[in-house]
Amino acid sequence: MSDTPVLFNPRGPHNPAGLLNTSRGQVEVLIPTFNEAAVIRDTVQNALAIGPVFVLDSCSTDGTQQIAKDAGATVVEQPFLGYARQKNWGLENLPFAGKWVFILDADERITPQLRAEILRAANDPGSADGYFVNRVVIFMGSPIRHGGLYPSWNLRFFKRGMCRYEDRSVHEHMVCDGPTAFLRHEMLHIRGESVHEWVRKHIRYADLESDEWVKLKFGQEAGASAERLFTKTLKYRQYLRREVWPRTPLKPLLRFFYMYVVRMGVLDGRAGLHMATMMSVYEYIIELLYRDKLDRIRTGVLKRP
Amino acid sequence: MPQPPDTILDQAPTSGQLPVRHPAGLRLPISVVILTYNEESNIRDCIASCDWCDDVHVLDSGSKDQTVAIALAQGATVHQNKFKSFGDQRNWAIDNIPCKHPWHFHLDADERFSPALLDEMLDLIGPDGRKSACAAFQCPSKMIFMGRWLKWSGGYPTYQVRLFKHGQCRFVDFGHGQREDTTGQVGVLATPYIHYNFSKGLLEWFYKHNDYSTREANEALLIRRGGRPTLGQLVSGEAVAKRRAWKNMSYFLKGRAIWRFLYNYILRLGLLDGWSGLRYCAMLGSYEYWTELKIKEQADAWGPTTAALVEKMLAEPATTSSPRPATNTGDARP
Repeated sequence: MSDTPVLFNPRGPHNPAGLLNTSRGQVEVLIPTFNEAAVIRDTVQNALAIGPVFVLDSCSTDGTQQIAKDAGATVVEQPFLGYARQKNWGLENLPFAGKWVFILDADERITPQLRAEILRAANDPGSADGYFVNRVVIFMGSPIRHGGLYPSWNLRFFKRGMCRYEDRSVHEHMVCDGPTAFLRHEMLHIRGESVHEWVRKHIRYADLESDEWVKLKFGQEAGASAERLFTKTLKYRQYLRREVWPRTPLKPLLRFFYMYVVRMGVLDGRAGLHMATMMSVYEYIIELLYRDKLDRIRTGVLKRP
Repeated sequence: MPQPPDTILDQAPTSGQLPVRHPAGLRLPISVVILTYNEESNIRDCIASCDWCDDVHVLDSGSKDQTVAIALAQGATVHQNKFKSFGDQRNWAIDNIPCKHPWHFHLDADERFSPALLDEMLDLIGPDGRKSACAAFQCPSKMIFMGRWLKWSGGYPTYQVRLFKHGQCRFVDFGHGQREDTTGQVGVLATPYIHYNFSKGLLEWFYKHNDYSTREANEALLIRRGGRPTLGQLVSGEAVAKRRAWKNMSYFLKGRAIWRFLYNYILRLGLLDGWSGLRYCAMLGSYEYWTELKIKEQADAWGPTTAALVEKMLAEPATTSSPRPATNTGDARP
C-alpha cells in the first residue's frame, strides 16, 4: 500500500459543516467499491463530513479509483474476496488510526441529522461498541417505508476491532463482540441505478444466493453457526431464510404477497408495487437457477460443491 | 504432459448421450460442421450424436478449455478461425474446410441429431446426394428446457437453414445470428434436431434478456413518440405491416408481462408442457416486465425525480446548532 492516510481536517473543503465535528478524526469511513464511477464522488464527499475516508476498491475498470482519490479518499485496491471477506480484509488491513469505523456503501448517504448523531456517539465515553443504523430506500423518486424494507437495521458504526462480518457470499451480516445500540436517524440507500443495472446486479445476486442454497442442499453449512449470531430476532430470521425458505413452494408469489399486502407495500404507491414485483422476479430467478444447478449436478455437467 | 485420448474422453462432461446412427445403419452423403468456443460441457455429447457421420469438422475460435482435446479424441477434424460473426464463421467453413460430402450440416455444440432426422434427410437427398433439387433446407428444432421439450410454450416450430449443398448457399449476418443467402430452392424438413438452449445454465438467458429488454424499451420509446397505430393499420394491409402495427400497439398497453404470459401459457397452450411450460412462460413474463419497466423509467423520468428527492433529504439544517428533528422520534427499535 503506497497510499498514506489523508489527515482529516474537520474544517476542510469537504466538510462545509465542520462546526458539527468535534471528534477530531476519531471516526473513519470504509467504502467498499467496484465500478462506482457514477456515484463515488458524491459518496466520498458525503462521508468526509464524518471523518477520513478509505475506499476499498475491487479493481474497478471504470476509473472509480481516480475519482475517489480526487474527491479526497485514500484508495486501496484489493481483488474481490466475496462481500463479507472483502470488508473483513479491509477492517484488518487498512491503516485505520481512529477509534470508530463506519461502513458505507457507494449507493448510501449519511443525512446531516445522522452525522450529528454519529459524532456525538463517538465522543460519548459510555457508548456501546456497535450501533445499528436504519436505512431508507429511495426508489422511483419516493422513499420506501413499507413492504418489509423499512426499518432496515444494519450494524455499520462500531469501535474498531469489535466487529466483523460472518463469512457468507451474499447477504452478509455483522457480528459484534460488545454491547450494541441503535441510532435514531436514518441513512439513505439510493436505488439510483437504471433498471438495466438493477436487473443485472440482481441476476448476479441470484446466482450467488442459489449457490448458497445448493451448498445447503448438500449439507455444507453456509456462514457462521447460529451460536455466533448476535440477537435472537436475527437468529430466528436467519434460520427461516436459510432452512425453511429454500424448501417453500410458490416463493415468488409469496414474496410479492408478503411485501405488497402483509407488509403493506401498497402504501408506497407505484414505487411499492414495482419494488414488490421486482423482488418477486428476483426470487423467481434464484429458484430457477437453484433447480437448474441441481439438474446439472445430477447429470454430471456441474460439479458438486 | 498431454493426456492420452481415452483419459480425456473419460473425464469429458456428458449427460449420457448415446451414439446416434441411421435406423438402418446407412451412411449419409453429409459432412457435419460444428462451430465451437469453450464448449467442453457440450462437445462430447454433440459429437456422439454425429456417430453416423464419417466426416465431422469442428471449427473452433480459440477455446480456452478442453473443447479441442475432446473433439480430437472423438476423431473429429479440428480447424481454427478467429470469430467475427456467425455469418462470417459459417462462410469461412464453407470456403476453407475440405469436406468430403456434397451436403453440409451446420450443427451447434448444444444441438443433437436424432435417428428420425437422419432417416428423413437420407430420404430427401438420396444416398448419392443428387435426389433433391433444393440448394438448402430449413430445419426445425426442439427446444429442451429443464429436461423437457417445450412443444407448445416454445413457439415450435421455428426454422433455420442448417442443411445445404456445398457451393449453392452462403450466410449473411442477421440480428443476433445469421440468415441464409441462396438463389436456389429452399426446402423444409419435417423432423427437428434437438436443441439444448440452456445447456450452460439459465444464467446466460437472464443476462441476455436483460440486454434485449433494454434494446426493446429504447425501440418502444421511439415508436411511442410516433403515436398509436390507427385501427386501419391494425386490420388491413399486408401481413408483415399488420404484424408490425400490432407489435407497435403493444408498446402502448399496460401489463405486458401478464399479456405475454397468458398468450404463451393459455393461447399457445404452454400449459400442456407441464411445470417446464409454466416456468418458461413465467420467464417470458419477467422479460416483458423488464421491458415495460424500462419504458416507464424513461417516460416518467425516475432518475431526475430520485436525484431531486435525495438532494432535499441531504440538505443541511437551517442552523447547525439545533439539528432538525428526525421523522421517526423516540427510541427506535427493530
